[in-house]
Amino acid sequence: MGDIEDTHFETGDSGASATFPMQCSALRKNGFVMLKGRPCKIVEMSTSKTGKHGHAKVHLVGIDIFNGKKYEDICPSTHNMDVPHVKREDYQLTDISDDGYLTLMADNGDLREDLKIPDGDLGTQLRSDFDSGKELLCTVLKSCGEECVIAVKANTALDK
Amino acid sequence: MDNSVIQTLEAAAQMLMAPPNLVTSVQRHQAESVFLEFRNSKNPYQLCREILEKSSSDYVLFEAAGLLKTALIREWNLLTDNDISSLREYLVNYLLRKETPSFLKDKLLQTIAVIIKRGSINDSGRDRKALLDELEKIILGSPIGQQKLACAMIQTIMQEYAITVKSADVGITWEVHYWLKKSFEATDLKRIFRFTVSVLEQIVRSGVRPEGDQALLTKQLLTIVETILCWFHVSPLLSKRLIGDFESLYQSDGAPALRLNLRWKDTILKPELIALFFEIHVHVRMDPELANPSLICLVQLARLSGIILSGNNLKEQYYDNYVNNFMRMLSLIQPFDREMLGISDIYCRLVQFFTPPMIAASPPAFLQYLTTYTCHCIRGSIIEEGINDDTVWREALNKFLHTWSSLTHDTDGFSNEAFMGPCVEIFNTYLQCRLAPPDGTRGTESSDGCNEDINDDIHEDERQLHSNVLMTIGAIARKAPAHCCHVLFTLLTERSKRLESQLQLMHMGKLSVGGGEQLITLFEDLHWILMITGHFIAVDCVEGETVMIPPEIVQYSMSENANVDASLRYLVGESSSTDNVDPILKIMGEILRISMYEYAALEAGLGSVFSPELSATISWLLKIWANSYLMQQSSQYSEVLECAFGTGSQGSVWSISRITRRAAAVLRHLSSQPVAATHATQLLATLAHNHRKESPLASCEEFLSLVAWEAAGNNLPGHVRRELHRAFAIAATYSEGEARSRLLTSTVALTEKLQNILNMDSDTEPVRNMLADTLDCFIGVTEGVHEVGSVDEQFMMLLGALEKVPAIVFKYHNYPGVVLPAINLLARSAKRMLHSVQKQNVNKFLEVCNTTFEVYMRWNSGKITSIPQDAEEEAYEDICAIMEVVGAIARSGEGNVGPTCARGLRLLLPMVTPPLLSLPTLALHAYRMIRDLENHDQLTNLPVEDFAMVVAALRVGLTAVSCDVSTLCCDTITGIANKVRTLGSDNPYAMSLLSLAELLLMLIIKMEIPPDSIPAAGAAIYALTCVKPALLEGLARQLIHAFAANDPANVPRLEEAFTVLTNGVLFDGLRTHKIRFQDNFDKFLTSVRGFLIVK
Repeated sequence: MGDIEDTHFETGDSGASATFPMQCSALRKNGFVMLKGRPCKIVEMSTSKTGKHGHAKVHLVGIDIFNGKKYEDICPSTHNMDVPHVKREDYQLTDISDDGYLTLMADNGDLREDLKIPDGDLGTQLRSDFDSGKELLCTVLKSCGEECVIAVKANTALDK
Repeated sequence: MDNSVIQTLEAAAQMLMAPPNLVTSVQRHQAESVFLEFRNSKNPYQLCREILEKSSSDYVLFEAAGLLKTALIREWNLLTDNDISSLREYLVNYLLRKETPSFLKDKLLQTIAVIIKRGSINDSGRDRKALLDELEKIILGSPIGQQKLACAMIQTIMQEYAITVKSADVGITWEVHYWLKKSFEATDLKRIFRFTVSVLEQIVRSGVRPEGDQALLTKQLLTIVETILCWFHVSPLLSKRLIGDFESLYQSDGAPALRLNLRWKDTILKPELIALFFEIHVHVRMDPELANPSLICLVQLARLSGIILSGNNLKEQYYDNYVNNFMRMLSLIQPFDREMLGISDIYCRLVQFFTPPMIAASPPAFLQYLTTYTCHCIRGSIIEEGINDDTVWREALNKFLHTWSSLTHDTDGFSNEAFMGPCVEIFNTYLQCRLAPPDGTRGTESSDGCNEDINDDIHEDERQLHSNVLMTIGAIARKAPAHCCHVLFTLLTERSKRLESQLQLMHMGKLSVGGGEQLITLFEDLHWILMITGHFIAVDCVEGETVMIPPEIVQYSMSENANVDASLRYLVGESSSTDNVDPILKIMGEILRISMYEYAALEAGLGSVFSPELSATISWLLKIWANSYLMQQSSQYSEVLECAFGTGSQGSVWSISRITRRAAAVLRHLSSQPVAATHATQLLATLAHNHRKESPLASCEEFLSLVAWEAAGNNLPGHVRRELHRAFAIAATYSEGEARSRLLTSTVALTEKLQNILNMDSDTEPVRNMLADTLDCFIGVTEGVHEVGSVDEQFMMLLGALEKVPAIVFKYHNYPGVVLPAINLLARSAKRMLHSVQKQNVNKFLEVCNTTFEVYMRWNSGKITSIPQDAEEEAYEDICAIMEVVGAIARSGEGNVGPTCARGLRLLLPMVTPPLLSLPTLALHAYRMIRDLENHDQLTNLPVEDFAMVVAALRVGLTAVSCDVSTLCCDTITGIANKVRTLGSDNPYAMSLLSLAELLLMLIIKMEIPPDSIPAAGAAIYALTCVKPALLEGLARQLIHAFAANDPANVPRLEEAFTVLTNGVLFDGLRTHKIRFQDNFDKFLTSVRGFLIVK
């Protein structure tokens, strides 16, 4: 199943571009940007210039939104940078398969089973909460064809 | 005593000092425990003596010396006078007869000093006097090694007496420290001074320059004199806290002024004394180690003040004598560069401590030397800027400039004629150092910084960085206005022509874009000329503050009596003849021309060539000019200036329109250059602030088209747009009727835009970015709205946006990039506007907050996310923002804020778990909010279970390492305790609160609370005891009981300490008893810590 799903991102979002251009100076801290080809959240933004009368360059430090790696880049403030389209959607968790895949239900009732339990503390918490019978709501982050669960919340009063 | 103990210690020391490959960690731990036990030995004096005599291990010697001191402090009350004096004699003899390494010597000297100081409580300094007698004899006639030791001993004793509040813990309370210091000052300080000075005099009279050991001894003597002249003579009128602040300030930064009482009269006012100190300096100045303390002595003598100089022209005589000796020294020596700081300090102090008429009566050499050295330091400091990070020259220059700024400011000092020559010389020197050749020398001796990479985060804004120096240079220049006006005008005209032709050539393609070195040199020259001109014609200020035109400028303009018409025609560029034109208008005309060349260049597509730094400087200059010159009251103008810039004058309308047009062009073309864009928006905000009758921007077409341009949409960066909307909002508050509605269209357009975004179906990244930007712009509006009685109107407009916040937080709950500005908008509005809007509007706002809290809670309570460690603080920014909302609502105290605060708190408390509270920023926000809520009586109105959560949070906060947080917690506890006192100690709130008392007391006793929070903690203990008077006694019994098991010997001392704590105190919450308790609390801590804490 994994293999079939992996090919999915090529045509993800009905062929729309995964990124859009934005002037470097208009980027915001905590916003998103592509650094070294990876979608990143901007954690640090500073400007510098070559010489006192030079024009500004923006120094960006970002954290890969999927794997947490740090990337840096520097770019003239008047130039454009690629900004990834980022989407976060909430799903209800209905099951966890033996090989660690989640069964998630979207608002419209569609089911998907292509996402694994996230790594680290979040994954451990997710499994133990699910095992103890809590109804869980998973937030899935999606960008540039990649997806993963980034947050979990007990689904108490969320009957929409 | 058997030697086995020494052998064990030496073996353990060897183990500790051995390299890691030779010993195992178990062995090392064993060795450590040997020393830990050794440090706790009781009555170790004989043992320590043995060690000092017999051991050859440095480590063991060091430990023994340390133990001597701590044991003495710990067991002082158990020792007999004989024990102590024999120990003291032994130690002095030991040091005199043995060559000891400095680590050991310092420790033993300190032990002697502690004995002397504690001993003087009972013998009123008899022993000290005897020791000083002995030491003086040694200095006068013993071998040099012993002389040096004697000096070191005097220094250590003085050090021990100098500090009272934060002195090394020797087991006595502050009052005793203080009393000992006073008695030391009265009996021995002057004696040491006279003796040391007489020894120094002998050295000078010998005519031999001190070298080797003799130089070291001289340095010690000088340091003793320096310490006495820098002595902080405590005034009995000050409170302990103030004295503590002074003492710590004195340790970190410079000495206090030399304020002496009448007892010093016979010593310090002897004319020969000053002469002697100058002689000493001349004698030792070749050696930098000696020159430094001798210069400090001279500086201190230049700031003699107090009762000692009152009456009978004493002050004049002292000053004349000092200055004559000072001038004589300057005529004899060629100062080294390293002496500049001291010399500048002497000048600065003289001017600060003596009256302008006395200064003005100084010999002519006073101003001559001052001018020469100032110019010298200007050159030095500008070379230094380009070479390294040292600030020696800059510090000296600052002191000289400080002197000048006092001198030029005093009206009863030197005459303007006396200033003329020196001021021209200083102005010319500074200008030359800043200009490139051939006019100046910039970059010839060190880099001018034009080619280095500049990081905006590290480098301060250029205009800020130099403003202190330039402000004084400007004040100096205004003393010679004719000369400076002429020079600046000539330079501006020449450079502006060059700028025009260069830009033109570039536009026509005849000069390569980039222009190379030549263009950068021109930019840099203009940058400096404009900065100097700015500080010459006006005074820099913060936004919103109106500063008058400097009076010298107005006078000069009046005295020139130029032709109004010719001047105006020159200003607006209708005529190029400078005949009969007012000098200030000439300069202003040239500046406006330069700004128009910039405008033309930007519009012609040369934005990528023009220097953002220069653009910023132009905006800055126009800003400070507009602030002083535009539309002032007519009494502040000369005739020409009023016709040009007064209210309703054509010149002002014309200038404002040009300035606004240019600022708009900068925003359009240089918006990606932070420095240029920031200064352009600041300029607009300053123009908007200018509100004689009505904001001049309200009727300025250029400004209105800027408003329209912004409403139509553009690609300005978010933070620039926020500032722009701030300027719009300021202008709107300062205008009326039709004009106001036109300006308010900016907010209307913003509201429409927000609505459109929310109506959009597509939820994509660009849309979210736009939304975040728009919310930011509303924050700008909030910040720009001023309290001039019209807040409600603008608040209602803002409310349109605020009411959408809950929906935004709901729809975009997964996108912190949107949620954060939305909540920030609530926080800022609460902070800036809530206290001045009408009640029904406050209620509307509270409604919005309630809904927002609910929505936020719905999506975020119990949520677990994967946050990388290094992004933790940022991930919780939204929680901090909600705390700010709650805090600001509580502070506003408007309407019925209680329920909203309670809701916010109920949302927040379960979220801020102890791990979150360990994040410093978040903790500070949280406890500040809790304190604010307490201050406005919101905590005791909470349901009791919520209150318990607050108490739990306080429990976490008390153990925080940050002093701010633990002080906030203690203050909050005190506040709540004062409120619940009336409810009785069995009230559930009181019971919940009282559960903190034990923890608090233990933290205090174990010194686990930051030292600066101790006073707040003491107040909290008192307030808690007032709630339940039996509390303290119960806790004391508990503590004593716990001690009885482990350390029964100390139980009586602990009992006594607790008796001291409650002695004479009633727990009624009244001020007298509160203060008495604080005093007792200090005594309690001093005694308890003496024996409970063995580190």
